[in-house]
Amino acid sequence: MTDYLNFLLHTNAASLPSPASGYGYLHGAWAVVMAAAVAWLAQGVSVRVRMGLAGAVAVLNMLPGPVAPAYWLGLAFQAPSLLSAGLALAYLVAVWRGPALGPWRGALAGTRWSVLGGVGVALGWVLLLDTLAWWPVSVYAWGFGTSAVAVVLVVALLAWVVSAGREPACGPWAGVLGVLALFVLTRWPNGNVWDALLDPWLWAGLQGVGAFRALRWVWRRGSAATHA
Amino acid sequence: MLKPLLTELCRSPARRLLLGLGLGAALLGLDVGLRPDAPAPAQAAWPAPMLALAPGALGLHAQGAIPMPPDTPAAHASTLVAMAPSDAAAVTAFWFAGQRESAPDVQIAASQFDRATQQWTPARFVVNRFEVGAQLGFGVRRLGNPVAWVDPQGRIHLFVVATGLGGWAAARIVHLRQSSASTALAGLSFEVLRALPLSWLWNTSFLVRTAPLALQDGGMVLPVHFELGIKYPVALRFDAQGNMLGMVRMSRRLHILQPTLLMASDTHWLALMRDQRPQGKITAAQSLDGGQSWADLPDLALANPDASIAGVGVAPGHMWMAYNSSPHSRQVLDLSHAADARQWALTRRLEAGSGEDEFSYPAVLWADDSLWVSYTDQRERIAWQRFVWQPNAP
Repeated sequence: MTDYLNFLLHTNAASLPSPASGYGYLHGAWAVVMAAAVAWLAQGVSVRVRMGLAGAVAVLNMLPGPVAPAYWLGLAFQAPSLLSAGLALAYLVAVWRGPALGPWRGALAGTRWSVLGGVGVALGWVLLLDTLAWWPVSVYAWGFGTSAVAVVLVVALLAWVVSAGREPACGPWAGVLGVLALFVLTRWPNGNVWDALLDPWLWAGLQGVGAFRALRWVWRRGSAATHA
Repeated sequence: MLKPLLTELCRSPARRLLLGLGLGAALLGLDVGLRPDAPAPAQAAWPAPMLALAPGALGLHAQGAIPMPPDTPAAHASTLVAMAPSDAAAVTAFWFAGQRESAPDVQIAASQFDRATQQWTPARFVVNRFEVGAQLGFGVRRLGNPVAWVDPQGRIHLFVVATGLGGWAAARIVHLRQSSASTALAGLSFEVLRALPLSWLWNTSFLVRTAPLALQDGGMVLPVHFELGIKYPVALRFDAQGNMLGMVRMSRRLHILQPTLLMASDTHWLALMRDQRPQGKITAAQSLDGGQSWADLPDLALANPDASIAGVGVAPGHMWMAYNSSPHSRQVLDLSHAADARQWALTRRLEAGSGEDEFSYPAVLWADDSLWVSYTDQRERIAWQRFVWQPNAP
């Protein structure tokens, strides 16, 4: 059975981005992620100042050599996933557009993000345990092939179809489809679809958010029971 | 205008399904179209197939120490690569050198064995971590083991261990390719292609150590291993242009590293590996389908003192392996021969030291009708020996 799975899942047609493309993505993705981080830290000041600081950090990350934070972040963590970069970009857009994004902020607390977050957490555990050779086949190696892209496509499409009427056309699952399309066109960050969808920091963040929401739910239930 | 149209198109599950199927089919078609064609099943290439028809034995032809770059006290982890018949050099050796292993000044050094003078050229440094970092776009803390390969176009490829934060546990494998017009050492230079994507966990912790297995399609299979507490071997396949095609785990065991590949036939390959257990043995795995799948084999009877080994299958029935044969030290380094990778017979004791002597991290290569062996001598220099095939010798 393991041999059959190995044969089915084995890939030998990987497509990696060119060296120049990989270099550009590393600096560009860290520029966006760090800009979003600075904008988040600078909450409480004006939008203009927040975006100015974010822009300065983004430019700094695009510089070559050790002066760029991306040089050191890449040493430690390689490049962020496409999804991380996309979420960071969406946050910067939300900051720029200000109060008009109120409904978008509310959507972040909704069930659909919890489902997507749960899928991300599960995928991260699968990939971490795969790194530690827990599984009989190499899941990471599978990410270089078309079959992995197809599986992600089917899951995201099904979730998007099922959510019709309950979420807008451009909801979280559409975002995943967008990331997948960008991956197919560019192969960012490194030709492996798992690295495009999830990086360890995003995975840790999803678990943190999930744990916070769970604790808040338990606390609220406890409070409601106390006051009943 | 676009938003209302999109909202209308995606209002119902049925409409989303239709739209999604169309977009999905287009995306998958694009994915397949943008990929390289899947290569034919891999078949290994014999370095010297005619040797199978010529009875004889190896005889020591020459030996010595490869020159070191000036003012460089430490050397380790050499690799040998055969040059084209038209090249002035028969063999190029690469190794890492500096003040000590893991020192910040460690670079990749090289020397070439000149066919005309039958001497090694003065060594020079060819790769340093600052140039690698500048081309990668991110920092490199330390450099380590190099492994070399020459593609069918005659370009030298180097695969070098480069660490991030955390020492060898944070190692990555960086792929470089010759950028100079000539392979002559004096002007040899390299351009960085990428850090090979091998692991989801921030692309750590993979290392390379032993020579690739050449394929009949011009590509090769590069043996590497994961090392973060546990250790396991992996095979990477590359095409004739040096593009990585995929990866396959070679064993379910978690205490083995630094695999060396030997071919028993076109599609029957053996991997012999270093064992980290106390009282370790040389461990083995095999593939019967050209590297698509691997199965563990019983350990060899040969002791392995947690030391690197190097082997090569030169022709049907002729495999050679260099290894530390003493169970508890690296004082003794042997060269042995086998017809089937299970029963090994000593060809020559390469080195026999005592006390704290270390002869380790061998590399073996068949080139110019000779078996070349290089190895670390006391972590201070790279020693070499050349054996020539003597027909009809006992």
